[in-house]
Amino acid sequence: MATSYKTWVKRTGKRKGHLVCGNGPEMDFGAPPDAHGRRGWFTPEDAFVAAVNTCIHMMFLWVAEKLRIDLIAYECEAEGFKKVYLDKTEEFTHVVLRPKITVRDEDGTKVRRALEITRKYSLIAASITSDDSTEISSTSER
Amino acid sequence: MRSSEFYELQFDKFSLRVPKDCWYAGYDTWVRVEGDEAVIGVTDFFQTKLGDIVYVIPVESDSFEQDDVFAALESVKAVVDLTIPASGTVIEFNPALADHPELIDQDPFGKGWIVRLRLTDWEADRAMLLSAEAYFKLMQDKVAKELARA
Repeated sequence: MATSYKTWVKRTGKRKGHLVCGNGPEMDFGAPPDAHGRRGWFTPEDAFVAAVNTCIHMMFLWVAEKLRIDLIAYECEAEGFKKVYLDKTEEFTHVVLRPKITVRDEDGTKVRRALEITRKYSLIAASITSDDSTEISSTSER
Repeated sequence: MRSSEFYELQFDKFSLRVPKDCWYAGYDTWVRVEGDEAVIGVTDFFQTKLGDIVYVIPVESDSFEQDDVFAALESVKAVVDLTIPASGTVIEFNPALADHPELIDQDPFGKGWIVRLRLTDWEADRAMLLSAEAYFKLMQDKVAKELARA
């Protein structure tokens, strides 16, 4: 089944623009400080790492519900690692997610399985094709 | 399993096997006869299409007639009723599936079996089932339709 998602961007100034997402949200964006941008701007780099983090988040909530996990809390830090090549081209080589998960009455087995399924079914994580591109290292509390 | 013991369809990142020692229902369940008993499960195609299975919910009954609903499978993406391909009295549902439903994904024709029956009308039931070769052709058609929809 082919489904598509659209966004639109428009230049609004030097090194910045305005983004309209197909699902409704709009925001200004620009380059990050390390690429001649400014602090405080929403950047493509933020968007990429946030895409992985938010997709994993939503998928985990779905899978946890399916596995009847009594989820108390979920939060996750995601960090994308960029490599700069000799010719100045750049690439995100991998994204590390560090979820902190609190559940009730569970020894961790179901949470581990939920994370495995989450990684497999996350659209964004699955779309990053470089080897070992997404790594989840979790800590869970009871 | 040796390669001579199954038909295999490979496409995209998938490899779907159809063992030659089973009989198949068109609705993607299999039955392997062992004397007057039979082991029943779902096919590789079916479990692949369903996605990761998180629960197996047996129907509580001492016996089933062919085409009765005998269990439900809940996956990450869907919940489906399973229809039984043969009639018989229930010997046991696979006890391992309660804690490890993923066995169906990992080994649908082996450790992921779902129910064992004592057969009660096998000759009549078999007439309604497909050989491995016939099911393999049907499965190829189903896969082609799925890919055409993609």
